[in-house]
Amino acid sequence: MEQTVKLSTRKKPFRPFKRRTPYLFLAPFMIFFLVFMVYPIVYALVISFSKWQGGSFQFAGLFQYSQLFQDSIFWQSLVNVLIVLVIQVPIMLILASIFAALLNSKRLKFKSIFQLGFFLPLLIDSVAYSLTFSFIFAENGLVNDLLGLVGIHPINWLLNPFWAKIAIIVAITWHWTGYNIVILLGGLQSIPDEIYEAAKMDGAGSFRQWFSITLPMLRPLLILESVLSIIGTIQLFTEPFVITGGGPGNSTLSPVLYLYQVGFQQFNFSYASAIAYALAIIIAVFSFLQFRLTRGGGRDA
Amino acid sequence: MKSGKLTLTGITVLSTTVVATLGMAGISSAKQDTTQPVTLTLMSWNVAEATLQKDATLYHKLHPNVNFKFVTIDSPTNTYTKLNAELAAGVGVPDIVSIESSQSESFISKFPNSFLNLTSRVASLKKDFTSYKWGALTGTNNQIYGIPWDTGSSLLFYRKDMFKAAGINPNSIHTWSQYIAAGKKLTAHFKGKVKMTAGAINDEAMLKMLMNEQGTFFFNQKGQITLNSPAGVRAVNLLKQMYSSGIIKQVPVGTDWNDIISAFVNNQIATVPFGVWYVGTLETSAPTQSGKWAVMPLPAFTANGSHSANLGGSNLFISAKTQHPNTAYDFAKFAMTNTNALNVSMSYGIFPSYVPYFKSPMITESLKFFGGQKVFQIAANLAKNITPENHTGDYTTALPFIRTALYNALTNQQSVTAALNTAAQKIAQVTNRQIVK
Repeated sequence: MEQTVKLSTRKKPFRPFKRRTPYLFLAPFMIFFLVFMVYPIVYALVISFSKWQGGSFQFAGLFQYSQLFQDSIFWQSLVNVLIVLVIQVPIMLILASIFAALLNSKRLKFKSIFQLGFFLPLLIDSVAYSLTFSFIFAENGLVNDLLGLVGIHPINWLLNPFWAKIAIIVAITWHWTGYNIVILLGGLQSIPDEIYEAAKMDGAGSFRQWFSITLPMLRPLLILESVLSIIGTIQLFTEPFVITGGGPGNSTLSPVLYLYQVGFQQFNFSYASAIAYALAIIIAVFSFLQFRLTRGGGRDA
Repeated sequence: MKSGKLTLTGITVLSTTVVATLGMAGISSAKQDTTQPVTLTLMSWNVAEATLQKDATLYHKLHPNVNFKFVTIDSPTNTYTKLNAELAAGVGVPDIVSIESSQSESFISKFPNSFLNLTSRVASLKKDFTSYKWGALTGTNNQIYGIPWDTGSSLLFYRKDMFKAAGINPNSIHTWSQYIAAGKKLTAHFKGKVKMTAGAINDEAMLKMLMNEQGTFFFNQKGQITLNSPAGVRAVNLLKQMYSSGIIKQVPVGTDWNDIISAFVNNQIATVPFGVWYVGTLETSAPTQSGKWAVMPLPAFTANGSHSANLGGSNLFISAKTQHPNTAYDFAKFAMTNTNALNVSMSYGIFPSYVPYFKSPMITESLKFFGGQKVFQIAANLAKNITPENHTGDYTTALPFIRTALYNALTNQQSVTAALNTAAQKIAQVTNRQIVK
C-alpha cells in the first residue's frame, strides 16, 4: 500500500506536463477558434434576442424572430435562392457528369489541358469573376453583342427579374462546374475496369454501361455534391452583390445579401443576427438530410 | 519674530515661485497643445474627399503642426458601411467623417455616444447656417452632433445642343407634363438612341425631389409617416408616367450612380435632375461637353407650383473618441466657414449652407461649362423656397420598404396607392411611427 502511494506521488509531477504538451501545440488554433469563431457565434445568438436602443443592446426576447417571420423581403430572398438552386444544381451536376465522363474517356488527348481548363474558373476570385459577368451581361455587353450577330434582339439582362436570375445562374454554373467535374472524375477513375469489361462481355453498349454502372457507382458522390451545392446556394452572396445588387426589385436578393444590408446598411445588427440564425437552422436541416441520404448511398454501394 | 517673518517671506517667495512655475508650466503646456504634431484621420467619398484634401492643405499652411490622413471611399453608401462597422466595433473610427443629411439622424440615433457633442461649440455659429440644416444634426436629446456643409438645391441639368436638334424650346418646360412631352419628342427625334434621363427604377432620389417640391417628404416635421400622402401618390404616379412613356434609360440599381455618369458622358441622355452638387461631377466627367450644358429650375407639378426641392447635402461629424477634439473641431469649422475653404467647395460644385458666404463673388460667377450661366445664383434663389425635409432616425430602416414600393408600383405589380400603403404600414410596424391619415 505504502509503496504504491509513494509511486503514484512520484509519478504525479510528470503527468500534467505530459498532458499539457498537446494542448500547448493546439493552443494557437484554439485561441483563434475561440476568439474568431466561438465568441462571434455566441455573441450573435445573444444579440439576436436583443434590440439596439440608445447606443446599447437591450434584451427584447423573440422580437427579432417575430419580425423575421412577418418579413416578406426575407421570405422573398429565400424563394429567390430556392428558384436558383432548383434550376442551377441539376444543370450543373448533369454538365459535370457529362464533362467528367468525356474527360475520363481513353480516346481523349491532352487530358490535363482540358482538366485545367475546367478547373481554372474555381481559382478565380469570386468578386473578380462576378465583376466580369456584370460586364458580360451589361446592356452593351458581350452576350447582347453575340445575340445581335445571330439577329436576336438585345436582352436587358440585369433589369428584368427573370433574366437577372438567369445571369446569376450562368455565373455560378461557370464558376462551380469545374469543381464538381474534378470530384466526379476521381469517382470515375476509382471504378474498376473489370466491371466494364464484364458488361461488355454481356453485350452492354456505352449508354447501357453509363446508366447501369457509372451512375450507380457515382451516386454517393452525386448526392454529396448536390447537398454541398444546395448549402452553397443558400449562402449565395458575392454574385448577387456584385452583378445585380439584389435587383431589380428584390428579385435576386439572397438571404445573406439581405443580412448584409440589414446589418451594415440599416445598422440593425440584432435583426441581422436573427437572420443568420434562421439561415443556420435551414442549413442544419439540409445537412441532416445529407447525413441521412449519404448513409443511404453508402449502403447501396 | 524676525526669523518668523523671514520664514513667512520665504514661504511667500517660494509659493510665488511655485505659482509662477505652475503658471509657466500651464502656458507651456497650452503652447504645446498647438505646436505638438497632431494627425487627424478623415474619411469621405470622391468629390467631398477631394475638397477636404484641399481644405486640409490650406489648414496645414496655417497650422503646420496638424497633419492629415485620408480614407477615401468611392461612394457615400460604402462610406456608411465602413463607418457603421467601425462605430459598432468601437475601433478605427476616423476623427472626422462626412455624412449626408439623409443618414445623419440615423447615425445619431443608433450611436448616440459615438459622436462628439458640439452643442456649446456651435452655439455662436447656429444663426450663420441655413436653418433647416440643423434638424438632421440634432439628436432626440436636443444636442447637436455635426457641422453643416452643403445644401442640395435641385436643378434640371440639360443639353442645349440636343434640345436644339430635337426642336425643343427649354423655356417652354415649366411642368412635369411638359417635360414628359419634350422627352417623347426628343426620344423620337434621336430614334431612342438618346433618352431624356437615366435612373434605376427603385431609386428614391427622384421621389425625394418630387415629394419635397410639393412641400412634404417621407416623414413630416413631427416624424409621422407621410409617404402614402396624396403628394406621395402624385409623385409616384408621375414617375410611373415617365417610365411608361419610355423617356428614361433604365440602369441597374447597384451601379446606377456610375451608369448615369457613363450615360451622359456617352451622349445617351439629355437631362439630369439632381442637386446643385452635380455641377462638379458633370464638369470633371465630361470636360469635352463644356458649353453644351445649361440649367433650369426643376419642372413643377402645376403651372404655378413650386420648383424648389432639396436633394442630399452633407455634414461633418467628429468622433467622440478622437484624441484631438479641439483641433478636429477647429479644422471642421475652418472647412465649413473659411472663405478660401468654401471657395474650394464651390470649385467642386458643393454649395455651402454658410449664409455669410452667399455674398461671395463665387456665387454670382458665370460658369463656362454651362455657357456662362450663373448656376449657383439660380440654385441659391431656388433654395429660399425649399421646405425642410425630416429624414428622422429611421430613414435607413424605411428605405428598403420605399424601394420595394417604388419597384412594385412602377412595374405594375401593385397599384401606386396599394404599394405606398403597404410600405407605410411596414415602416409603421417596424419603427412605431404613426401614419398620417
